[in-house]
This record gives sequence, C-alpha cells and structure tokens, in this order.
Amino acid sequence: MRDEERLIRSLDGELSDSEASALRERLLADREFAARREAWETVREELGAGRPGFEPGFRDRVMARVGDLPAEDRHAAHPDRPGAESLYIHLQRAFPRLAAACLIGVVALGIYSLVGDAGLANSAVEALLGIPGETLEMAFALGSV
Amino acid sequence: MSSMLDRVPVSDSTPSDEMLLADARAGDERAFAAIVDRYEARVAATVVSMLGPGDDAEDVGQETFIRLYRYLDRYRGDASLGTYLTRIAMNLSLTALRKRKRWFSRFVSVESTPGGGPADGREPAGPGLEMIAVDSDEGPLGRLEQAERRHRVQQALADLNPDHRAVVVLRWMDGFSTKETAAALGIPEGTVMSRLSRAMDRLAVTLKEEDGSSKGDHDAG
Repeated sequence: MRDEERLIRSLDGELSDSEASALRERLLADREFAARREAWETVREELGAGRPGFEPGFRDRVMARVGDLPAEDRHAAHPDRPGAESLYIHLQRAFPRLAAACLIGVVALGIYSLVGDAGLANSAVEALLGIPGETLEMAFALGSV
Repeated sequence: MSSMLDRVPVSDSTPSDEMLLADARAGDERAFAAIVDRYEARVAATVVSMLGPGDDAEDVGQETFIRLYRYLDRYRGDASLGTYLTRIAMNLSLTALRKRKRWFSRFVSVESTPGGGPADGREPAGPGLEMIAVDSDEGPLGRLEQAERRHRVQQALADLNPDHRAVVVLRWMDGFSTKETAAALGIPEGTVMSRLSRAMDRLAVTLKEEDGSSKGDHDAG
C-alpha cells in the first residue's frame, strides 16, 4: 500500500490493527511523514468546519421556481397524470404523426405506381431499390427462348 | 412474534425519504419542500465548495432540486436520495465551471489576472465573505470566526484544479467513499487516490499560508 493511500485510509479510520500499528511505527521514524499526516488531518478538520450553506430562504426560492415551471414540466413529476414525461408518453405523442406520415407515404407510392410510365409493372419501391421492371410474363418469355 | 419496531408506527414528524418522494410524486408540493429542507445543506456543501459562494452556486443548487422535481419518476432508489442529489449537484457544478472557464478565457485576458486565470485550471474566486451564509448558534464573534474559516476554506478550494476539487468535495465534504467518488466522476479509484493526495498537499500549503497572512493582518490591525 502506498503512503498516500495509507494516510487517506487512516483519516477514514479504515486501517486494520496491524496496518495502524505499522503506520504508528512509520510516523515515529519519519518526521516528515508525520508532519504530512498532521497537515492532512488539519485540512480535513478545516474542510469539515468550513461547510458552506446557501443564503436563508433557499427552500422558498426553489419552491417559487417549482411554481413557475410550465404545466408540462410540473406534470412530468407525476407519471400518473396526463402529460407525464416518460417513454410511453413520448411514444403516445409521436404515434399519430408517424401514422399520418406513413399513410401519406403509402398513398403517394400507390398513386405513383398507378400513374407512372411503367404502370403496375414498375412500382416506386422497385425504382427506388433499383430492381428491373421485369414482369412475370417477360420472365416466362425469356425462359422459353 | 412481532418486534417492538413492528408495533411502533413511524413518527409523522420525520417521514422517510421514500414517503416524501411518494407524496411528491402524487403532487404534494409540501413533501417536495420537505425534501429540499432535508438536503439543502448537503447540496450547498457540494455546489458552494465547487463554485464558490454567489449566484452561480445558488442557481446550480436550485437547478439540482428542479431536476429532481422534473424527473421524480426516474429516481428508482438505486442510490440514496442524498447520493443521487450530490451526483446531480456535482455534474451541474462541473458543467457550470466549464462554462465559466470558457467565458473567462473569452472575455478576460490571462495576463490581467494575478492568479494566472484559467490557464492553470482555476477560475476566478467567488464573491467575498459577505456572501457566505452563516447558520450558527454562536455569538457574533463566533459567527464571524466561523465565516472567516469558511472563507479561508473556500479560497483554498478555489485554488485547486476543478478535477482535484471535485474529488476533495466528494470525499471529505460529502462523505463519499473512494469507490463512490470514482463512480460519480467516472474515473478509476487509483486516480481518486492520487488526485486526493495531491489536493491535500496543496490545501495544506494554501491553508497554512492563508492562516499566516490572516494572523499577520490581525497583528497589523
């Protein structure tokens, strides 16, 4: 175990009896190490004593902000209410738009397929995927050649 | 056979975190206010130590609780509420420090700052002694001494690199273990140890210097 780790664990009171005994011996033998430990102990005490706080009225200021939150955010804290911010709610909101977009897409593709030059033989999907506009009839014809 | 504890109802005056959270989720704002009361000091220790006293710390402190409120349904109780809030507070503080550093480097020339500015990883010190809230039963002199002590600690912490400061704050002020600190900051435990030991050496020097200078001031006065 490194010296620093030993010092930190000693400040935490986590050393075993044998480790604590070894540390005591080391502190007696090495004045510089002992001074370092003392300095660290002082720092820790100072940090503990110097715990800062907010100015009075912090709770009221937070609650005022809670009161100012938009209705959607206020409801987000309560999943059992409408508008709760959760994956389920997000999906619920997105679904009608997605469904409408899909319907429009299907209708558009259908119209394109019906009125396009190749008619039903060459759908928009086939054109997009680069599939040749061969019909079953043409395939038979090629097979019989 | 039921134990004594089973028969004694939990006191209404000290509801558990779980009870307060359940009530807050159901829309009881008084329950949420009670959570704020309970964890205000803990969140303050994190954000004020990281950012220094002032508006930034107040904003981040408020934002910590607003985040909790907005995402109450996401808190599953994997960590204690105090640990959860400390993590939010630390993440928001580190983000605020990055923003502050960007702003500082954009608008203030490094040469104009006696401490060397952000080039050494530090940021400008926060406001002075008057901004540190003092909550003590001691008399005016005791309160002043405590405020001075807090101010000295704040100055010493502000002198640290933010990465090192985060480790000190989590380990010594928030009571996180080395393992919890490593998890909260996303760094290995060995890095926590090395940053902590370097920070402790530096703090020891800074606090000693400040102690000497404040004694000098008193002697001169």
